[in-house]
Amino acid sequence: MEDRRQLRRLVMKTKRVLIIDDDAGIGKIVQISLNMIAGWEVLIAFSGKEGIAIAMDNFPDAILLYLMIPEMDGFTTFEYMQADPILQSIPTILLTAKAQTTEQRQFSELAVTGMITKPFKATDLVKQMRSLLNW
Amino acid sequence: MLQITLDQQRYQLDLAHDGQAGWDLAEVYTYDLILLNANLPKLDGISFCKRLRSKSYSRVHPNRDTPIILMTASNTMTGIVNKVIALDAGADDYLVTPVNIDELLAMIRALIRRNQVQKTTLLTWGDLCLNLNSCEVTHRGQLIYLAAKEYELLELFLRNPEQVFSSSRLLDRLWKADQYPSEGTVRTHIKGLRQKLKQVGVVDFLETIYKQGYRLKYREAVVEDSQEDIITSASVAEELGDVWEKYRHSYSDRLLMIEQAITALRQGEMTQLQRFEAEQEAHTLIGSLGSFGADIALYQAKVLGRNRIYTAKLGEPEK
Repeated sequence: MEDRRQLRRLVMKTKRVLIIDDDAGIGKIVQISLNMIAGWEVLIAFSGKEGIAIAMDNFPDAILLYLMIPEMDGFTTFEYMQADPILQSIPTILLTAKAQTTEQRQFSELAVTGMITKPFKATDLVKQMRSLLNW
Repeated sequence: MLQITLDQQRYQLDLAHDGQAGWDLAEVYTYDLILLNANLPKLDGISFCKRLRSKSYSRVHPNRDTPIILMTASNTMTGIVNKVIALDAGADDYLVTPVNIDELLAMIRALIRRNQVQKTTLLTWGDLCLNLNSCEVTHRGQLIYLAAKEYELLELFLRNPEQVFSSSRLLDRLWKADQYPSEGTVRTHIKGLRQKLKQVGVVDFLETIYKQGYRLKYREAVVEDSQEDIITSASVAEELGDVWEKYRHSYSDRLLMIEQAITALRQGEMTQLQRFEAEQEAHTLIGSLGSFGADIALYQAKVLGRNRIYTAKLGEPEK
């Protein structure tokens, strides 16, 4: 059944996005807005470790990564993914809170595809992502 | 591995783990190419090919003309005799596993190209239509007058939607060997093509990839833009309302922590580190609540820090 769903996703050119954020509410907001507006499939991870494991299993088309996640923070998670020959090719968008300017600068020097600042408007998220990812 | 490679090459893949599952898919969807392992459970590759190409099926089958590459382990079919068996069964080409990825990709491109040349007379991108027989380009029926090189560029991009073409590659493909135009000439023709298409409402059909070249933009974005217009933000907000009800308690707990931090701050019982952490937490909370559209302030938390006041509002989500 999972294979069949995966096939449908590929046939329909549907995108698959992974959100890594320990705030379950944010994960659901992202899931609802991307799924309802663009039809994209959204996978949710609550920590860096879980995010990496899900990315390896599912190879999403893009990753939304929040900085302040438990265990392994966003910075370390991103570095880990960049060191992996497969995961490094997945475009990653950083989710930040406004206060995290130091971290934003730190990431701006890295190969992130873009940044989206919280709070974001749920109905604009698809447009923001399309613009950053050139989808 | 093969799936990842083909995915990266922007091919849309359907995977089947046995011959019968593959046959079921092939009866529903029309494919540009079928990559088939000879040793499959339930329905082996040779039988699959024979069945697909047999007259009793081919008349109505959506993949009767779809090229097939048959892959087989080196120890199961050997030598020219088995290659003959594969080709006679209906396969268009034959590979021994483990496959060389570059060879496989080249084979896929060649077979798809050959198949397209045989059956295509119209190339389309949304409402844009290029007729290979009449050499006319139209958009929603309106004729677009293109210069010869603009037409050739458009045809090349439409034929190869997944490929990136650098200026030098375009020079190689579209100009004769004895012609020596500069890369600036290519840019001029691209610009001209874009302008003419833009005049009839075809915007952003071509994407410029930094330091790499040009590529036809995915049509998906165009299709989904129109879907976005249909789905109102109200329906998203309604869904978010349900989510809000489910998670609002967790935010209340976090607000309580911030309240305690404010009390500690006022009483001078807070270290610099604790204040910094409280600020970060407040910002995270503002980010979360704001994303819900929390707008009606039922509750406010204020964290005083460094001459600034950070405010998080906890209320009902905006409908």
